[in-house]
Amino acid sequence: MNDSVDEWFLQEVLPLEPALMRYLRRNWRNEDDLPDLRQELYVRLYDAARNGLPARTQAFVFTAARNLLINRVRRARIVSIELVADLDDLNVSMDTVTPEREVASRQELRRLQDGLDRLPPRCGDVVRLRRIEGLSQKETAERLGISVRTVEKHMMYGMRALLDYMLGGSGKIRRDQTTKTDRDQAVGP
Amino acid sequence: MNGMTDIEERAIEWRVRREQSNWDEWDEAELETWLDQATAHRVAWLRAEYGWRQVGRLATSPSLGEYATVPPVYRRRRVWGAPAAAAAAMVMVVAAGIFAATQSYKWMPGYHETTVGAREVVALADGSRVELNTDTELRATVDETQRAVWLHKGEAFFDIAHDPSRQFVVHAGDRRVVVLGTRFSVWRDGDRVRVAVADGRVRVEREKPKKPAPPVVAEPGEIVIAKADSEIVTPPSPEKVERELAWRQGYLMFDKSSLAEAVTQFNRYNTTKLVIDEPVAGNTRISGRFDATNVAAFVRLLQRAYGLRVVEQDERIRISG
Repeated sequence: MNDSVDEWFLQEVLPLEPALMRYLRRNWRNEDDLPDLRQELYVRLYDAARNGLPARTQAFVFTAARNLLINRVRRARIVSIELVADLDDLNVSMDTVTPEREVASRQELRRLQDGLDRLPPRCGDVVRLRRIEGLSQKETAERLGISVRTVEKHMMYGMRALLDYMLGGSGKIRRDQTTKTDRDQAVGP
Repeated sequence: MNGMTDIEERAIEWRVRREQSNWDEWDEAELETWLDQATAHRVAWLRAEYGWRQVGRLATSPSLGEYATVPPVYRRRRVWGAPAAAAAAMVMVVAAGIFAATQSYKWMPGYHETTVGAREVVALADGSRVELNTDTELRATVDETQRAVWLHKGEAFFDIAHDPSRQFVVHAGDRRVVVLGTRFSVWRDGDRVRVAVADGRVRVEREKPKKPAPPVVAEPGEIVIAKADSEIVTPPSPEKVERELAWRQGYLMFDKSSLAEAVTQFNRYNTTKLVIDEPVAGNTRISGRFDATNVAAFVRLLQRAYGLRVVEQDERIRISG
């Protein structure tokens, strides 16, 4: 849709997610709310950026995060003291929030290695061959002695679990088929 | 760790599905519709795209070296240990199959390759030099904490600067060659790894040993041939190592080698392949020094000096007794 906003989001906002989630986790007691908080924050950031990209993304993101939490607290019918200790705690110290890119990439690498290791062996083989070695579906199928359709299946489950894990999820493979079009072929276990 | 909203999960599914071969305009239209429905869908989609790119980006990191190869699984029956010529043909097939289109790691920093018959010298940041032989692919990483080369395919000669603070490690398949500073070559030849030592000492270890295995230390003049769970070290012979390294000057040197052995070597450096059609008399032994890319001269020698029959057919040169 709006390419420059998309690119800005990809290049400047999403790399902040680890730091952002640390901030949210520190300042919101209910762990289960975090994904929704993130999603709502991203929506606000994106919609705001449509009117013009901010000059300093990091400050923009964390100020918006703080405002989101304050609004949430105000919206709650019963302000539970459990939700947030003190509104003052929400003040973000810019010095303490750094993306730490060098450390982040080592951590991300470890996370990727970990995510790959969590995949069932055959799944992991397919993902490594396709995504890391860059083999085509056909080459992967030949290499492993399986059909192209099986390669696709493993790729779907494997990448889904891996992306899930890379983005902070559990990395568990879900075998239920949730795509809805009837063009999808039936997928066995 | 964090969970994910339903929309975020859905977006990941979309992203993975988009890579499949059966993705068409219908799916594309469906995706666009879903993206237009809500900003929440759009940002979740971007998040999935970011994750996808991250995997791709990190996958090209040199530190992910040990994940770069998957041990081959052969469902179809293959005959290993067949006569040298057949084995040579199989090595080429195996190599071609495994490394047919390694696009992503070819764009990694430190990646170098040579085509058939070519050679290349690479200077590393620590002052070491790596000479790539024919048809070789490798990746080198030198920084403050490590010095490493992943030899994906082919052969290279290493002239390593001495640095006690950083070992130099060559990863070749399931073997690892560890040195402090020395001159040696490593040839990854199918399921075998061959290490020839010119100067200094090297240690050949297994990357992931199933049981504790003592490393093999090789000295100048020795050649270690490692395969599966065993290693052979040839008796020290500087001449043998010199022949092993003759490729560095563009030559192949043989000393009473079998015809099959000579053919295997020539085929590494030339796209027109030599094929031995019928088993040629076992006492046909090849000696001498040859220009590695001059197949014609070698073939002429076979005809004149050894009386062999040579026929050019289908872009191959067929040799028979």
